Order: sequence, then C-alpha cells, then structure tokens
Amino acid sequence: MSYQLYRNTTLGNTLQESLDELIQYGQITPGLAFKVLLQFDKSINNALNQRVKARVTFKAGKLNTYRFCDNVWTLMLNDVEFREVHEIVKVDKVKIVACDGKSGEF
Amino acid sequence: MALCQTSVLKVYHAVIEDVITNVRDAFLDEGVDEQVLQEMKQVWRNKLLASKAVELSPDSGDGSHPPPIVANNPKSHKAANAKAKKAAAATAVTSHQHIGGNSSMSSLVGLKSSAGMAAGSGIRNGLVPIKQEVNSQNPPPLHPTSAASMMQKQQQAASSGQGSIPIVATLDPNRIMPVNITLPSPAGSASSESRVLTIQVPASALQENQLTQILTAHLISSIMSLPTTLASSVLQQHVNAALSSANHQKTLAAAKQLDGALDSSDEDESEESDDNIDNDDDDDLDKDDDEDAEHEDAAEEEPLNSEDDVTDEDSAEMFDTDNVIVCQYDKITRSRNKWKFYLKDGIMNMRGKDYVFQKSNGDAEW
Repeated sequence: MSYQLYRNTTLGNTLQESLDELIQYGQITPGLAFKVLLQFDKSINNALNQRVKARVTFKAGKLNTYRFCDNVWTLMLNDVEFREVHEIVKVDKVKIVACDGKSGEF
Repeated sequence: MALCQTSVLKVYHAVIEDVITNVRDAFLDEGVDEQVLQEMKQVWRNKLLASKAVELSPDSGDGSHPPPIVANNPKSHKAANAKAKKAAAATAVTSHQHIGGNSSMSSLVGLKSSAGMAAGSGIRNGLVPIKQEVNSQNPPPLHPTSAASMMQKQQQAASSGQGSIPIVATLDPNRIMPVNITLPSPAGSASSESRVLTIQVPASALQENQLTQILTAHLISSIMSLPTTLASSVLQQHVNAALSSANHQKTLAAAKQLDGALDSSDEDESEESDDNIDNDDDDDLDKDDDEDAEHEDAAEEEPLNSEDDVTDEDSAEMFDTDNVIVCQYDKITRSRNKWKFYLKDGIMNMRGKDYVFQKSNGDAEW
C-alpha cells in the first residue's frame, strides 16, 4: 500500500523542494525525480507501519466540519486534547486528512 | 508526546536512508553520478533541519562546498577611508557568513577591500547566521542604527527565513573588479596545493549577488579538472555569458512600449463623429493602462527587504499555521452527534513540530 498523502508532510515537502532544486540545476531529470517520489511513498508507508509504536488518544470539544469523498475523510476539529500516556497537548483546531487503511493503491 | 517526537527522528532517518538506498540503481541507470545522490540526501536533511519540525543532527559528510570567491580592491587605505567618510552608505562592519548545513549547492561570495569594507552575499540554501565586527581602522558605522541593533535585525531576518541582508561596498557598478577563485586540489591529484583562478566581473555583479547564482557547484566541479589557464578562460566566458543574458533580460523588462506617438491617421483629421469620439475615449483608456503599467514596473524594480517589505514580526504569527494530521483510518463511526475515530500510521504537525503515531483513537461531538 503506497498512499501519496504523506508527500504533503514536512518530510515529503522538503524532499520535493530538494528534487526541484536538482532539476533546476540540471543534475537530475523530472522522470528521475518522479521515481524518487514513488520510492518515498513506499518507504514512508512502510516505516509508519513497521517502525512506529506510539499510541495517542484525543478528545475534541467539537467536530467543526467533515467531508467524505473518494474514500478520504477530511475533518476539522476544535478544542482538541491529545494524550500520550501521561502527557497532554491541547490545540485550538486540528485538520485531519485520512485515507482508507484497508484499501490498496491510492 | 515525547515518545512521538523521539520516534520522528528515527523514522525520518530510516525513510531517508531507505529512499537513498532504493533509488541508487535508478540514478545509475540514468547515468547520474553517485555524488548527486549524496547531495540530494544532504540537501534534504538540511531542509528538514531548517524546517524546525524536527531537531535533526546533520551528518558531517564530505559534501564539498564551492570555493570562496574573493574580489581584491586595489585601493589605498587613505583613499578608501576618505571615500567611506564621504559616502553615508560606507560602513566599517565586516560581514562574516557561515553556511548553514552542509549543502554543496551553497556558495559564498565575499568582497574584501583594504579598508575593511565587505559585500556579503545571500546564500542559496539554509539559514545564515551573521557575525559582525567593527573594524578599528575605520570610523564607526554611519547608519542611523548602531552596529548592535543592525546585527540583531539581520539575525532576526535570517532566522525568519529571509536570508541575510548584504552589506555592499560603495563601488561604481560599471567598474571591473578582479575576482580570485581558490580551487581546492582535485581528490586524485598528488599535489595538495590549491589553485587560484582570476576572472574580471563588473562591481554590479558583486553588489547584486549575481555570482552566487552563476557559480554553481556543478560549474566549479566541471572546471576543476582543467588546467588553470583554460579553467580561467572557461569560467570567464561562462560568467560573461550569464551576466550579459541577465542584463538583457533586465533591459527587456524595463523597456516601455512607446510606439504610436508619430502615427498619422486620416480619421483623426476628419470631422468628429460618434465613432471618433469613442476612439478618443479608448485612447484615454490606453494611456491610463500605460500609466498603470509604469507604476507596476516601478513596484517590481523596488528591491526586496526595502522599507515596508521588511518585518520584524515572527513568520509564525503572520501565517496561522494549521495543525494537521495526515494518516489512515481503520474506522470512523457516528452515533447521533457523537463521532468516534480509529486512526493509524499518522504524521502530526502540531505547533510546527512533527509527531508520529501507530494508532490514535479519539472522539468528538458535532
């Protein structure tokens, strides 16, 4: 399973910026950059699945908006409290973009 | 959330290594050098570090920087000092710039005169902390702000991602300056002596930091294998071509459409009819458009970091950064207005920091 949604994270964006620079300098081709991004999709999906063990719970004061389209949930939550073991982080608003965890290619 | 954050470091490292390992064959298939792959890795990590989302400890890899470029100004101390006193823009502050990260794309240009004036250059990648010293030979800075406050402002600008503010020596822009480029000895060569290439560039190129864009790591590495004289001439030709094309683009951008003033038209001489009146109105509109275009051009020519463009406010305050979670869902359920979320494999960005989780369950009311 290789979702492309992780490209819009810090790690994904910084990779894309780096690839753009290398393309501008003529050091790699756009085709090669595309291959790198596809590999990134595989690597990040695999790493999150295999290497991460952290568990977090959260409680939102309000679900502001929700959208379900093409098997992707987009949720806007307000007054959210995240808890990991004994640590708590509170934020005013959170946007969640979630793809189907059971389906195949995105 | 400490566990989430420590996981981020490990996961990001693992992903970077995994990507680099798995695309190596693709790079070789396309005939791209291994060095480019390492450069990509280094630039990626530097950008990740600069994002402040994670505290990465960058590798002390052997990413080679392009050599520093030093322009020699053959002026006597007295003449330069006299000019510095006359010109209010002359400053006794020497700008030392350190390249953030280890990116081999970064390049550094310093203009040193015997009076201690310096023109620092912006650096393409990474944030640039700036240290400033007041040179004892020269009078204190003639700027309205003190050296300390100036330094503080520049460091704020650098930390908010705007890069450094170059301190430019007051030189005639058309004056040709000799620029010495010190090349490190090639890796395979027996002699460890570095070579010095000299090229001639107009002062305007130094003042506008054009050399930093022209002298790329790719160019420098390509001439390193050439003999000194040939390398100098190749580099000179490349710089000349790049500067002339840049100047050509500038003149094209500045050029105005001035035709139409000497045109003669039969309609203009004929009696005024409704049609002609309409045309006159159109002409007036055209004039307005031309004036607008001139104003737009003037606005475009205004340099960055000038007056209202500079802000001391933190960029985080200006742009309300969203807290975003990118993840997958196992199940999302609703009972009346109560929602339950069962999420997994997520990357969270909260208040500019990254966290990761394997599972995350939560609830909310709509």
